[in-house]
Amino acid sequence: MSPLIHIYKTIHMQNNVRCILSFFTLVLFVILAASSFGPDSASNTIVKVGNCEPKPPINVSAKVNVLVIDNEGNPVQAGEGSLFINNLIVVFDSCEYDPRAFYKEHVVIGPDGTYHFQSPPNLHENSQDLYRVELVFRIAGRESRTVKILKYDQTTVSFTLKTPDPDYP
Amino acid sequence: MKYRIGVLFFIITCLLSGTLIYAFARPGTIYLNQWLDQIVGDNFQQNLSAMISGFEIPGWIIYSLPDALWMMALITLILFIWDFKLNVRSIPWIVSAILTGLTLEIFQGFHLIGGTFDISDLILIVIAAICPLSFTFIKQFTCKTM
Repeated sequence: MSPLIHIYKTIHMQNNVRCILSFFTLVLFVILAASSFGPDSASNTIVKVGNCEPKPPINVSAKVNVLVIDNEGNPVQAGEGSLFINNLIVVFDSCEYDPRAFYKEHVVIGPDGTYHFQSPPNLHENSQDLYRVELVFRIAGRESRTVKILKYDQTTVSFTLKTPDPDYP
Repeated sequence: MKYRIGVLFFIITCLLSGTLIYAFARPGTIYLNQWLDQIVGDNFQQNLSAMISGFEIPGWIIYSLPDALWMMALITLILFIWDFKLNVRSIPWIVSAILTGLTLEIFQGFHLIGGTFDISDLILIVIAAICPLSFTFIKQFTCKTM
């Protein structure tokens, strides 16, 4: 009998071993489920809808400015990240959101410490039509996550990020 | 012994398929993809995403199927551990597994954990749990009546 079959048959008979294996199976599943969290086009993107009311149709782009500064407030070329922009449109007669467009951009800071992005224009015709702008940014190994909203005719959103203080022993 | 290897192969296939859907079709900010990048190497996930960038994949496959595949693997693995027998010892674990899957989804609905509640996620998770259970139930019932 091969050692593998012997081990299998030994384990096979013991209910307490089965309980331990079942427990670890459940833990594995929870870890897998938790690992699927994180910002993207599907998860965490719907914001709470307010009072919807029709507005004149306008074409709006989302303009995003990112500025990285050091402790003295001087712009620095540091860090990198990802930008997630969701265009959420109120469905006609429902006051519920429908994610219509999704833009994902890799944020690379220029030598002047800034980054700029402008989305293609999208039609907004409700007071609650909006862009949800999420910036995930890493400087010196530290990750920050900020969400800002641009409602109806708002076009520009700015993020200012400060380089973290060094860790002293 | 052969059917056990087959079952293990099925479980691994379900786990891998769910993971690969995340790797191919979801962005690098998902924690699982961050881990994949760390384990396999930089840009691994981005390279996979680029491979399917021209294809239109239905939303339910990208957003709902992975959790369902993992749930199917979980229930099948627990049934495998308990020799595909539904009894007083195995049922509490099976119920716990189903409740864990449902609770994670329902908690999203109440914003207690990250993610967005989606009824299609819930439906697919329930179907995925029922499939291996009904197979076991029918097998057990058929064997008893024969």
